[in-house]
Amino acid sequence: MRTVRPRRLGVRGPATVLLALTTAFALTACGDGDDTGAGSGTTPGASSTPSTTEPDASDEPSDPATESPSPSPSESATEPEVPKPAKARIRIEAGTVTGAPDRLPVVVGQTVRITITSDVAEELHVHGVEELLALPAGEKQTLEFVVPAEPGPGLYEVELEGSSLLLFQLEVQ
Amino acid sequence: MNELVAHGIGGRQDLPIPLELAVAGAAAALVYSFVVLALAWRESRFDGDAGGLALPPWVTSAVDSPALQWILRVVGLLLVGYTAMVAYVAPDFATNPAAGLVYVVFWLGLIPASLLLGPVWTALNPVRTIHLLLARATGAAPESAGLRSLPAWLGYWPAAAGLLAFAWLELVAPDQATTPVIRAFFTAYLGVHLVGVVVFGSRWLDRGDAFEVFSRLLGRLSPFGRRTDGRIVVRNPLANLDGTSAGSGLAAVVCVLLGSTAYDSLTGSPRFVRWYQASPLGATAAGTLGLLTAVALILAAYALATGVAGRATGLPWRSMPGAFAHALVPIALGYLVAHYLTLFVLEGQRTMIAVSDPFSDGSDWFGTAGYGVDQSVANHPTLIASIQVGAIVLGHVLGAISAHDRSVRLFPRDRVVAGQLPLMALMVAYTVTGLLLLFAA
Repeated sequence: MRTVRPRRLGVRGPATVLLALTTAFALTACGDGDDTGAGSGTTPGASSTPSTTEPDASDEPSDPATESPSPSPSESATEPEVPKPAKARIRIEAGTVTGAPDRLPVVVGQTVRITITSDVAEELHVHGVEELLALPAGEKQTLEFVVPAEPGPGLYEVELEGSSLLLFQLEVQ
Repeated sequence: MNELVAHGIGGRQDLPIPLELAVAGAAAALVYSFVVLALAWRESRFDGDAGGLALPPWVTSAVDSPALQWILRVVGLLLVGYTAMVAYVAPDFATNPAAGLVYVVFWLGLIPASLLLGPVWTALNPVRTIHLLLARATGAAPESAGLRSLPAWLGYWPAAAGLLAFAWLELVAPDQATTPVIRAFFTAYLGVHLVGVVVFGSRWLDRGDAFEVFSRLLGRLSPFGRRTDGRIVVRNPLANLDGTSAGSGLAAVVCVLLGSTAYDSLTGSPRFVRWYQASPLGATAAGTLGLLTAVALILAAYALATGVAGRATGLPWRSMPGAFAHALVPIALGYLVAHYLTLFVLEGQRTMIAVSDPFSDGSDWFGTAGYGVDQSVANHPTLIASIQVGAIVLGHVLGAISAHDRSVRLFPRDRVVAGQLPLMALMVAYTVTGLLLLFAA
């Protein structure tokens, strides 16, 4: 037989406060987030949908090249100060990475320039933006791209495809 | 061709959480711990499998009907059959859905499925189905169709080992997203469990199969359960969790979940990755050591806290780890949600698209091949960070309540607080570690 005792202030009260707090966080976050939802349903890059019918990756770099001389007016309107290009100069020797930052903070629209020399033939892969660059052994190569809006904020790995060596992370704000 | 060769799942992580949010989360966890300790009930309210509000009888008979059980078994066979097909037959391109199916749809998908419906993998598990058919052929009941009875000391240890092996595959093994590696793991897995069921009968899977145990533990946080009289009931998820059957190794299962998730978080830090990549041991050995160390630290902290609690209350220390392991399940769930929510959303979509064209030949089996990945979830970093911290703090609160209820039942009345303090300290330590990793790694 259980004795009936008055209910104490249990965890119900605090739990409600926690839920309210979490909801409040969530609501403010939704309000702050800039809506880039217009084209969010589609993936832009041809590199993200590989198919055996169009194997040529050769015309891929030409797309950003045509865009780079004249930045679109909408971007310059919302972002009056275009930040200077973010640069990383990296050297890979015997599996050791020198010169790489831990994280390279960038914003959408900013140019990223990765200059890299590898002692063995490799391939540079920037996840998320899906930029690829072949690295012949011992040759200095430069990968330049503009941070697109699409993958959105996050940490994206920049790695060597062959050895899965992590170079740094692209920190898209 | 190079870009078609499979590479790892993801390559994306969430941004680190802001410092203020990490501090607020840690403070909230601390405050709630003391609120629970000081103000919550003094007599146990959770009655495990004895309680619950019975659903209409037809619900129980529908759940137990052979028709539904066979439908679920066939669904399980089809899902695993499709995954085996893409892993064995389809080319090992980045578009091969095998890795996404295993690490995202199956492993992470088990979390929401179990939270909603209970132990779903027990109903789907093809090993169980194969064994059932074998047992039928020999005319024996599947539970007793083994060569010998399952020794009690074995407990959940095989599941803990299985979870650790899977965590190693996911987080450390080289080329873990490629089909040969996935094939090797699951061939070994199938072999181990087929031997297990042949030797011990289907009871082996109840506590020996990592994925069944994982699904059953999380299913304990669902609102549905089975009462001791066999009826399907709705009940408070924490009362449901209270009914988790203890057994040796249960604490190890939960500690493997916590430790491996913490280790995964640690590997998000470029500094740590660079350290183990440059390690003289080689990346795989260093990663293995790192994973084992993370799990061992979580386990050691748990053994220490429960040991101190046992000493403070005069209870035998050997009985302590099993008595409080269930209370770590919500904390582990909080870790899992915080670390894998966006990955689940993004890679889940990618996998759903990839399953329509497993051979990369332009076919569209399920009509999803032309879909794009909606990446808009990434555009709300503040919301993501809030959900991450909210999940960890909520998991902490639920864990603290579960431990409190168990404490007031087990401990002598005048020793409850003394017994609970080390457990609270442990939970705060886990939670602060989780937040710290989200902030700094």
